[in-house]
Amino acid sequence: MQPRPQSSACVAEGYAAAVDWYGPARKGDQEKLAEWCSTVGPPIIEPAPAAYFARAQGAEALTVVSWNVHGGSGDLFGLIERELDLPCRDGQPAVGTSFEHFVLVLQEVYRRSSDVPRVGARSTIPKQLKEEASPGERVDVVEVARRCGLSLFYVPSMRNGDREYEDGREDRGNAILSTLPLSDPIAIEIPFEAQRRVAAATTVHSVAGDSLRFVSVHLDVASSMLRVLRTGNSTRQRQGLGLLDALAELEAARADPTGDCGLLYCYPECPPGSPPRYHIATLAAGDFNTWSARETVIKHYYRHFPQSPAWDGLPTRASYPTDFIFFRESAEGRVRLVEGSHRRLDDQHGSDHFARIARLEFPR
Amino acid sequence: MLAALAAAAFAPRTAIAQEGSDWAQVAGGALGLYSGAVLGTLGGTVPCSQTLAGVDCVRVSGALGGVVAAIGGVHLGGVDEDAVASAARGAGYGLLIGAAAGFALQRSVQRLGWSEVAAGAIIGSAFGASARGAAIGLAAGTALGTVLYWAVPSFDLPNSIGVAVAGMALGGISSWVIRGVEGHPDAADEGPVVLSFTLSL
Repeated sequence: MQPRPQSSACVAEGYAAAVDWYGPARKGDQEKLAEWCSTVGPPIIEPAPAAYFARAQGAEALTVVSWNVHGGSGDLFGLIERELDLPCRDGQPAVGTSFEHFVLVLQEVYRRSSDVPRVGARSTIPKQLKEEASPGERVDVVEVARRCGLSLFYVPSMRNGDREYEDGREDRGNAILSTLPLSDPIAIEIPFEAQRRVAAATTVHSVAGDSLRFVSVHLDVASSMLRVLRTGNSTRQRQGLGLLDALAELEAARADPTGDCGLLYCYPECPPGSPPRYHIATLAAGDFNTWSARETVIKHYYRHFPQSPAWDGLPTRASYPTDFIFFRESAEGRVRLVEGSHRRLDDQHGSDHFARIARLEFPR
Repeated sequence: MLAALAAAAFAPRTAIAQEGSDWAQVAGGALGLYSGAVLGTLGGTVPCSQTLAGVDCVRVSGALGGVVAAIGGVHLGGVDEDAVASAARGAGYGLLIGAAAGFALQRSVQRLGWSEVAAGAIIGSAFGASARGAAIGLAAGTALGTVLYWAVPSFDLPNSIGVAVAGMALGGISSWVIRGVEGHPDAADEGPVVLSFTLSL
């Protein structure tokens, strides 16, 4: 992986200058990704949540939910109200008594906008997601963030069908929404296998000023059979390790402004026998589309995220364990995963995936 | 290599003697290498996907399968031309059947493209070149995978499919070794073994 050149066709077309881009170094990947990228709209960054969240309780902990929403199927308002105690469907958010700050790490959210370019039918436009009847109103991620007063970082990966609506066209991708401010938005294009996938990464700042990076991940289900034969079934391994490479580059780029690498922080190059020390705590979560919790890519993520909660044995999509939350502490250890807090939600809220939830605390 | 295989496949059966020759060794080695490498790669995909090594493990599986079956093929060609010709015919039938299956799949599943037809042809020809061994291995692997699926709670469906495919690979590669050692054709006088099965992924 490498920082994406700013001359790239995808980045040049009016994309937010505030977003840093990372992408694979391989030319073949870059060409495919650029083809797909030309069909989607720009990323969206709304860094500040509504002002009343700054006065809310719960500065010592943070709830994180990772969920594949499946386009318009998942009832985001319902999940936010019932699981996170923030009714906001009507655009009048009411912070409940048990409210705690939260971060939503979402996959397969859609956005409808006239910013999504009008392009003719082409092979790089996948079909619209086949949605079940949603228990709630079909609302795009931008509108959810607006009505609930949440900060938002959305990065489209691909179009959500080629249908024209009165108010524009749809694309879909990964997003991070929060009641806390966001900064340092980064779009990480992962190696191309079957469809364009872009991980969304951003830093969330707690009320007390602690920083924590969140990454929303979605890997491909499978490549073509011919590619499986040619590459030895490398789809998710190549995509997952590509993202780990990008996160390593991010660490190197962000961690060492004063040249103290090796003393405070070291990653990926640490002295022999020394475990990695990260400059910022990172939580990577999402839909890894795995058949098994023992898959190669999952094993690698557990190695790179040593404080991750263990898998609870429960599937999140049909009988498959597709969704995971991975976590690693920073060298300072100012953010920790609350032991026993990780679980699968019991309600799918209309999506074809169950969400995973965990709590993080900021010990003093 | 292709010329050697084609000559073996389409040579009149009366002209083929039950003894080895140089060209049959070359053709047998090439066919074994191809069939073993494809079957080894396929057989390694699911078991290897459960290891940290992942793709590297699949590559080793494919390389090992290719080398072992190639050695078996060279031995076979040295003792029995007819067996190599039979394997080449099996590969040809497998190619056609595999391509047809890939085409049917491509027409029925929207996101699949023509590469599935090519993949079907490649897998079919590799299977056909060692049809009896691969079929026996597939049957045994399917039986074992089914038993493990019902008996062991943590043994999920992908694993049982993996055991079935690994069984097919092991059976196919083993058949090259066994034929090379024993020096007799695999169903040479009985025509191709045609199996009908559905693999649900």
